[in-house]
Amino acid sequence: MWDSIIITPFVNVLLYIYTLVGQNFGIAIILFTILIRLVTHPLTAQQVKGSKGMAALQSDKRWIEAQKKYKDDKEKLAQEQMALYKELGINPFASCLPTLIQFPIIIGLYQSVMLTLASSPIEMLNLTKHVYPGFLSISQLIPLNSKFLWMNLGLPERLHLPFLSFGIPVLAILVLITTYLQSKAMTPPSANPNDQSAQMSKMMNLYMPFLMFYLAFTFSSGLSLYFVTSNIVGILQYAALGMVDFKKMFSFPFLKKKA
Amino acid sequence: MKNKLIIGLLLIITALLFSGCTGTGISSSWPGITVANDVIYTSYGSGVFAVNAQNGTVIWRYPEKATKASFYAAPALTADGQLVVGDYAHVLHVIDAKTGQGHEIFTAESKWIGESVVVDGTIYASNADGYLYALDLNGNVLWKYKTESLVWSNPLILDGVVYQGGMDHFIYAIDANNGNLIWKTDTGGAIIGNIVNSDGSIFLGTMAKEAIAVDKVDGKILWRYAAAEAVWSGPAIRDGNIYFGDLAGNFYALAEANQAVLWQYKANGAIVGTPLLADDGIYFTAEDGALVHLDYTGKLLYSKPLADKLYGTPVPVNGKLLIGTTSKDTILIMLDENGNQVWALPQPK
Repeated sequence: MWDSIIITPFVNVLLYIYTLVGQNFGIAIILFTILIRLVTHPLTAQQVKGSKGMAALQSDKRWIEAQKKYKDDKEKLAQEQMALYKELGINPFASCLPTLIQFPIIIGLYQSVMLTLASSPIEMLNLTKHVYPGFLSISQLIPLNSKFLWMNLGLPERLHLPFLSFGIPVLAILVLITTYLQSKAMTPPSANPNDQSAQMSKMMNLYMPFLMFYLAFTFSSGLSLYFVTSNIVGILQYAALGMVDFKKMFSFPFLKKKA
Repeated sequence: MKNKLIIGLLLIITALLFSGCTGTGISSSWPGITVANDVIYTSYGSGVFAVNAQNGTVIWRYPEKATKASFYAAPALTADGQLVVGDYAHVLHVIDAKTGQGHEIFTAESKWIGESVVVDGTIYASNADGYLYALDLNGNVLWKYKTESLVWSNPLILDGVVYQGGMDHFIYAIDANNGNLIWKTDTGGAIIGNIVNSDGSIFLGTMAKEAIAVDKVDGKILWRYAAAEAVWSGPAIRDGNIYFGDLAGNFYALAEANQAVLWQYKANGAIVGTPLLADDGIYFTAEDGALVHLDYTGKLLYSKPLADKLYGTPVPVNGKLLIGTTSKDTILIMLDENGNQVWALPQPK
């Protein structure tokens, strides 16, 4: 079911783009990621609208007062919150529902990229089963050209410079930076920076880039390329929706503190 | 404290989700098997294992503790009792077949998917970095030849010539002494399975749905046979007939002389391994997990479900039959002459 609805169509579109761009898998991954992010843009827009509404609600006087007044009566607090949602026309699920719908698409996109890289016999056998026979010819597709710039997209990426004895994980570093920037762009300013959810967002924004760096450092560079593209397109999407304050995004409070 | 716990859990779930999606933990291939003197040497997952062929007990494993390397290519046994085997972490190893003590001798740029072949003290090994390497047993490169793409199939060495199929659709004939190209021929499809020899010709299957015969001397394509699906499996030859399967589960018996189809059999899953041509008939595995046994007229003798999936070639061992599996709990199954299980080797921990 998952395979036939998500993975197989994704794999075929990805491979079709690959044939269109002169069998360059790197460009195919970039274009395919952009395509999927564009197709799911209405969901992103809805999510942004929902989180903007929630941010506005949290700075509303009545909301703040209700939090203080009913801090020991959760039932009453919930009633007051629901009344405010209704009055201001805010759907509390408006920001998380599009995210939930997008999540399987993102995972599917990621799985398709991994499946198409097929760097072992069983992966190759799996790939042959996902190609629509009348649409693409597997015999013309194999070998898949997994070279892109200095990278082999089926292997973890390292840039080897003649004067260095070790390889620099350029893509993994880019993943770290773009994940951090995207997290900052995605997090709306909180009315109360000390509340629990704001603290959690702050910590997630710090930890998540390192987790993504680890994944990019360890797994195939095709995956890292997808991460970087997805992050950059995500930032641009948020910018187009008026969510990004570039000045704020490129300010690094933890660096200032140290200085 | 509570926040940190939630964040930790979220990060762990994300990591598991992504690492799960990359296929980590899922087998990348099937066991490579070599048998000598009542000992089975098998490469699978985290190590190479020496197994007593009589009772299936593990004699040794290499490396002693699992590392990030994984092994799937069948080890090549040298005349002086050493095993040569490559791993997926790009390293080629030499292991003492008696003790299981081994060491790394050479590191390439990519995975060792094809099996190495050792002839007169020279290792011929192809790597997914696209090179065919000739090395001595200390790992010194004697020569290397660059193909246009990945190389997954095993080299075939005959009379001082290395025949190597590539993913780049070419078959190469290379001088085994110096690595000079003798000829190369575009077959029209990626070559993944074994190349086999018969008199003046070599035979191979391609992902362009063909079985092909090539002249050994000049590389000229002698004939092509169009199969229904991609031919991953290397063919096998006996008494002037050629046997092979395709990824749609079709099994073919062709007369070598005129490529007439003698008979066909339809299995329930893709046929990936080279068939075993034994005195009592043909054995091959299918992706549906069945071991299929036919006689030489194409009559089904049995089709025995053994595992979730089967890909490799059945290996004869002292009148019995050894099957490598990719199932979660078993990696080897030994069958007697009636197809009954004698022993099974559990998935090593």
